Amino acid sequence: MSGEREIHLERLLGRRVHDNQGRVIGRIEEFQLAVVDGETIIAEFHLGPDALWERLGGAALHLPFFRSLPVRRKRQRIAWRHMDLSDLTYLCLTRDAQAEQH
Amino acid sequence: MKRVLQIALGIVTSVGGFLEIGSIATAAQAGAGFGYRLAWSIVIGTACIAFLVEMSGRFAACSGRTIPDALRERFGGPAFLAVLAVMLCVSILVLGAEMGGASAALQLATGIALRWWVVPIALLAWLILWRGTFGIIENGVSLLGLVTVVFVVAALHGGPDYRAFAHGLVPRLPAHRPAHYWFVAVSVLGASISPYLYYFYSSGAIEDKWDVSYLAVNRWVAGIGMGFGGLLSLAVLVCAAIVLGPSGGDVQGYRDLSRLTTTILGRPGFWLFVAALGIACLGATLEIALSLAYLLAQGFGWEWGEDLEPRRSARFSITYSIIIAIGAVIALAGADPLTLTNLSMALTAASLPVGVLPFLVLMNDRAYLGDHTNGLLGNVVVLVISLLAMVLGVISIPLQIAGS
Amino acid sequence: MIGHPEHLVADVLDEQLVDGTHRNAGRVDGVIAAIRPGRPPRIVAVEVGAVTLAARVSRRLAAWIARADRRLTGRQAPVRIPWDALRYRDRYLQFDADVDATPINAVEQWLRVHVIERGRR
Repeated sequence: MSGEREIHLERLLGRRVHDNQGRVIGRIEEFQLAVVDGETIIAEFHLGPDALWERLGGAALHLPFFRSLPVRRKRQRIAWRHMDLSDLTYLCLTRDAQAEQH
Repeated sequence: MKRVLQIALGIVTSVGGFLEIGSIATAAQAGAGFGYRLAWSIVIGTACIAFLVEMSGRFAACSGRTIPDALRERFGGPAFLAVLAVMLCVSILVLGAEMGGASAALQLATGIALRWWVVPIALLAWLILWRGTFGIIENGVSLLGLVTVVFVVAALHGGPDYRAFAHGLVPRLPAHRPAHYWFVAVSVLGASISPYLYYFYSSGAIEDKWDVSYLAVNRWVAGIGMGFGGLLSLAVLVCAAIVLGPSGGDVQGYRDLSRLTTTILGRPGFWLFVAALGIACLGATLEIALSLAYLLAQGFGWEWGEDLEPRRSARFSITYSIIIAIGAVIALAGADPLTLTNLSMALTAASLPVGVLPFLVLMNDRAYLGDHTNGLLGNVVVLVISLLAMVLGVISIPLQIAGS
Repeated sequence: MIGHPEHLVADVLDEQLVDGTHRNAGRVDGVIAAIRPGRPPRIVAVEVGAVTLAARVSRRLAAWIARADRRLTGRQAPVRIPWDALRYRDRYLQFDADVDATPINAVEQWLRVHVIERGRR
């Protein structure tokens, strides 16, 4: 199929995603999968304020001690159509995603 | 009845497998340099490894997985590689020290210099792993390791000062040579809490096909087995305090170590010491080499298993072969064997959190353990002791190097 | 893919791979997706091997391992298993082929033939 190119998803982990002002929204930490018409697709990209901390300490965050820490555990979900993957060295939201946000 | 036998065998093997060159040398230095005053470091080190071993067996029995397997899955490839790199560096140094220890035993027995024994020891260890099964290594070598009980006999015979000993069980600040005091304390901790030991234990539980019904066995084996093991280390410290302490000296070499039992028990004491040192160090050599091969194989998803023929698990078998070869090179490299032992034990202590912290996270994950996750006590004991070991290690290693 | 993993990192990446006879066949070291204009990214394959794993840490290390791997086994690229050939199980991912018939075990086989069995002869 024309215009199709392959990427390594594991290399996107921990990468920053920017909005159109160049501000960092978060880092990619998980990909939500879905099956559509027999194809497995990425439905959503999950971003966290600190992907590394989330990935390394995921279970620890549920311990009684850590639960009481004031760590932000915000997780953002970006739908596939809102993620601009055209330049893998600079990940950002698509234009229409920005419009929807405002 | 079967369970009782399992518990007995498990305890015997963990007692037999507890002592190795690190515990013997560091406990002896503690006793020689500071009398009974560092006994507390053996006690907290033993408490920590008992908790870790119990956790490791529980993890394997409940989840059907080994620690490296879950480490890779839970934390991802890059984090696994980081832990692997640290564990490889530190454990291979320890391996060199163990092979040096086994060679020193043969030097004491024959009078032929240590360096001539390193290659035969390496070949013997390799042959046992290549040809043997897990059962042979776990039970055979550890049963022979019971000869280390000679230290308890010697300690009791030597007429220890029980009052001073009891005082030593409470941590206190040193009266003299503080830098050396803390360095020896850290080395003792590193020698007691060997990461390879609890990583090895989880692989062993899988090789022996444990399930949830083994949880009680596991608790007994870890608690009593490691407890008796700690007792052996304390016995070494007592012997050193009695024999070497009065001269106020340090342990200068392996010959000093052999005086521990020889002075008290005479000629039989010498030969029992040689056997204890040789067997304990050979056993540790096997365990470390296997443990590192397990770590690589499980983290990378290879076929593994000590009971598989080498041709059915080629990478696994070649890995432990190469590791033994590197250990031999380190043992031959010319560093004084006791210095190598001290350094590797202190580095083990300083790097403890690298292996321990992710393991604690796993131990609190219900996805792996269901209702058998850690209680508060286990978490706190292991966390506090391993962080303490790291802090003491980071401070005292440079001081010791600067001081010497 | 038979079975539906929900999350890529939690359920697929770094999981154990086993072959049709339940022998260990490496881990999922990488996941390949196809990007298509106007349509969602589609998962096409998983990659297995030290080169892919190393690339997650350092490109230089990956290039170095790739050179050694080419020399030893003749493999030109990391091994890929098509997504549709995989079955998602609770604790691992399985494919039907015999692992020895795939290039996944090339190093294992090289060692078996050149080191272990040569030693026997």
